[in-house]
Amino acid sequence: MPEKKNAYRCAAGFAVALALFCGISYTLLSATSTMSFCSAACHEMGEQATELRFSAHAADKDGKAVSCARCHIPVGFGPKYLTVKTYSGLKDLYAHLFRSGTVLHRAKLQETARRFIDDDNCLDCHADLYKDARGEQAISDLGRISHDAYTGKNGQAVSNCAGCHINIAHLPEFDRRLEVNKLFAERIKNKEALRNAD
Amino acid sequence: MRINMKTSALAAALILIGIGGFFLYLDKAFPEVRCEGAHLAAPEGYEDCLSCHAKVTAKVAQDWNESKHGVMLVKCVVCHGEPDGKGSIPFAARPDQNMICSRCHDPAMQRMTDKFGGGLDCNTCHPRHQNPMHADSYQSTTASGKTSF
Repeated sequence: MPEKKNAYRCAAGFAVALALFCGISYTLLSATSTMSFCSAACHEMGEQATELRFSAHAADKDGKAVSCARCHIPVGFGPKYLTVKTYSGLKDLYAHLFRSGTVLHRAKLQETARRFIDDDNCLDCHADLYKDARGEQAISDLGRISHDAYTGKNGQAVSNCAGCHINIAHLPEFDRRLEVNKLFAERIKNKEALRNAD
Repeated sequence: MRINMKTSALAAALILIGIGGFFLYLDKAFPEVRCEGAHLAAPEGYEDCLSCHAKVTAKVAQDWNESKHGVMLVKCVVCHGEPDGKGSIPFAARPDQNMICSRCHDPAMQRMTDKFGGGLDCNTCHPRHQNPMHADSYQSTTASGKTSF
């Protein structure tokens, strides 16, 4: 029965190929989601990584450093994750290979980055929208009103989290003049002054 | 040969459908503009755009306030229209420059087109909410304190 044998071989080959494909994909997807890959391996996001260290999102409630992927890559391993990984991966690869050395246009970058920050990523840590990340203190009155609108209790706004919460982890030069970013701007300025003095 | 043609046509069609589907899903899962039209849910809330937007889109509100449009009190509705769709200006987060900018700046736009050719977006060089390009003389490096919301 050579035909049957061939069919078995075919199936076995397919299974091995599939396993290899999954294994390699998983390894590559994980390797390209690390903090060092974003900020050090390709150098493009070094400035952003530095800003993150001085921001309110430098560490989570357990004191663990927050990586780029925690906000910028959708949680879980679903279609959203794969879509963002594919899209931003190809975009970044193109930028790295063909636009290397050019100064990144941060205002444009903000638009893209905010678009791809999924609310589920924020909710992963900020599960209770009416309390802070530790779940201890209640948020301000203004925050409560805004989150009422977000959850549809008093509804007008259909924005994503990053639509309202801007400059929470990064602060380009042109946003440092804003009153709401005063503290963050001062922190970056102080640290930069310290580093220059060393 | 005939089967090969069929197979490759099928493969090409599948690849095209795959790529199309990918971008359709991308646009559905991560829409570019998210606030548009949501104001209709509470018609009484949009009478005063700035009172909410000073809080929820602080940067846009502050930029407008410090821009020439803000100084001259060109209000939101003049360019963005009203959320209920009444009036002659369509409600849009990103107004069409040929329709909106040209209402006031038609002579200047004509001069720019004559000089540099058409096809450019006004906003590239003249961010509508921000200070104009050559405004360093009155651009403060620190928060101006002009806004008191």
